[in-house]
Amino acid sequence: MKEKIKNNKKVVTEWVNLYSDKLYSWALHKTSNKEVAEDLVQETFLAAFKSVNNFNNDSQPGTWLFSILNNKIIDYYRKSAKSIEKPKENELLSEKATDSLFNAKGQWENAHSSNWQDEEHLLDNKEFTIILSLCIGKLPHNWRIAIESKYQKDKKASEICKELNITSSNYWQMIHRAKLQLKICIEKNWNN
Amino acid sequence: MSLLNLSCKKATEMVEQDKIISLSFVDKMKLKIHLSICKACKKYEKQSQLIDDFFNINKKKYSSLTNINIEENPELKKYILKRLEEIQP
Repeated sequence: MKEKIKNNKKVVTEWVNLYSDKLYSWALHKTSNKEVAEDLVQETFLAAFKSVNNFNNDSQPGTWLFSILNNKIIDYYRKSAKSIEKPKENELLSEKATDSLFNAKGQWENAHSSNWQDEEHLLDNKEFTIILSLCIGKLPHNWRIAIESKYQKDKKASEICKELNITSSNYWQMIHRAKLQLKICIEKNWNN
Repeated sequence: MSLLNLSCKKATEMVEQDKIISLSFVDKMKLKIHLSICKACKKYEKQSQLIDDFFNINKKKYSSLTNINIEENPELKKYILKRLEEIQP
């Protein structure tokens, strides 16, 4: 028994050396949060150690580790969506900001804002994409999840709503608000 | 602008709604007419599309591991190895 555990430790240690950077980079890319990514990778290896006896030696350890990590990432998103039942301060502030784009009748307050959308090859402009990425990073947490899950995972809208615990009308309202907030942020930071 | 009882706030929301669940024929027409006359909403529609394009480009670029930058994190590696070491039989 002891010998077996010792041997398992040796196997997993080797995996840590081989895969921890790759797993970490992936988790960081998916969560955009260093601490969260580190926690998830750590949990992945501990879970792998616990069930290493179930690992089929014919398969690739990398593939196996990535599937554990991806499940942990999904769990993380599920949990964080649930924990935000009440809108947080950042969300309230952003709601106020996006509301102020329109008057009481729902007309644009400033119909003559800048026309950045007409600039050519904007998405090839590194400076612009950096600003846009920063603006996305500043969105309220669940707005970001809503807008990112629309593209990053090949998921149906109904699945995303279930995960975020919202109705479908809330979903496109959230995307609408997120886009308005990005518009505000771009117009504040991008002046060409 | 409030055309056919459609405010700009509602119209831009419908732009997003249409991308997720197709609008009814009547709503589609209402939105189309609104966008054909309201410059600010047309601008929003283009900006929204540009943001979508950005996400779609990144999705292609980053959806596989081969295309992301590998970032080394030696502290994390050390920490995990230490925790493994501490596990008691």
